[in-house]
Amino acid sequence: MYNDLDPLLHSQLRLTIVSLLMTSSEIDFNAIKDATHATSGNISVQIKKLQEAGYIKVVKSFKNNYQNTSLKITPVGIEAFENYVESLKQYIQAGK
Amino acid sequence: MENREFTPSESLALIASVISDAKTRFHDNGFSFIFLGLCSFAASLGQFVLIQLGYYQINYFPYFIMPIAGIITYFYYKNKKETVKSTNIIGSLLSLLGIILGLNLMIAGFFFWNKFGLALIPFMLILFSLWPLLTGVLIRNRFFIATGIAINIIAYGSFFLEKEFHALVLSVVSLIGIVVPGIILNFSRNESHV
Repeated sequence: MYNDLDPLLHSQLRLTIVSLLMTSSEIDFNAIKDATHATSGNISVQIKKLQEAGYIKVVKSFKNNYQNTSLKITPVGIEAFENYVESLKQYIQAGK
Repeated sequence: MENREFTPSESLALIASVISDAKTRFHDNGFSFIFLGLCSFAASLGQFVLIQLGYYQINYFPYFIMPIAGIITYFYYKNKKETVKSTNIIGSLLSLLGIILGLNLMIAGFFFWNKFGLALIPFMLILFSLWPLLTGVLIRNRFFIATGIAINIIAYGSFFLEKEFHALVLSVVSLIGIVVPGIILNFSRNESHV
């Protein structure tokens, strides 16, 4: 239906993840879980899709002897997000 | 949260809501305001007392606590950052601003005090005013904005005071303009956690 909109970003959970990353330089997996209330499995699947597209970077490290996964947005992701917002504005304007 | 497709309006509303939440998700506990404000209060009051007692040669000695206070603050936030889940851009911006202002205050105070002459304390107060002012703008807090503007006005007003009272002005501004906003920030953070 919305052909010009980036299909990767035009999904509620993925868009929330990318929007969160646009406001922070780095976010932990658990912080995304807290913000979205989605299941770990669902978040992992969406993160993988975003990572494969090059929109985000996943950094795995150890914090207090526990494995920690944090996410960062990439320049490709920033550009995609900006284009997506532009397309949204055009759709809304055209609909008025 | 479901993983469904939605309309452009819903999409834009979601982005706006996430960005708006992030702006208010400023979890600073006011430590830098309270700690550095108290150190600045103690140092400037110390200077004022030394001048009043006639110890002109060593009147700037109390300010040596400021670099130490800066180092303590740096390590406090470094340790805190390691336990924090997400790095908020507002928090990062304010930390950077604090470091830049702090360095400029110390460079001006320790190395260029004789070049500034009567304008030293007003200049320092103008730099001081930027901290609460920009914090207020970024976290949308009217009290911080008003405090920043008040310090700015006091900075220019202090040109009309005798130089020996400048340190007293700095101590009062440190207490009212820096420590009090820090306590309010701390209070509002604790309130939001209840």
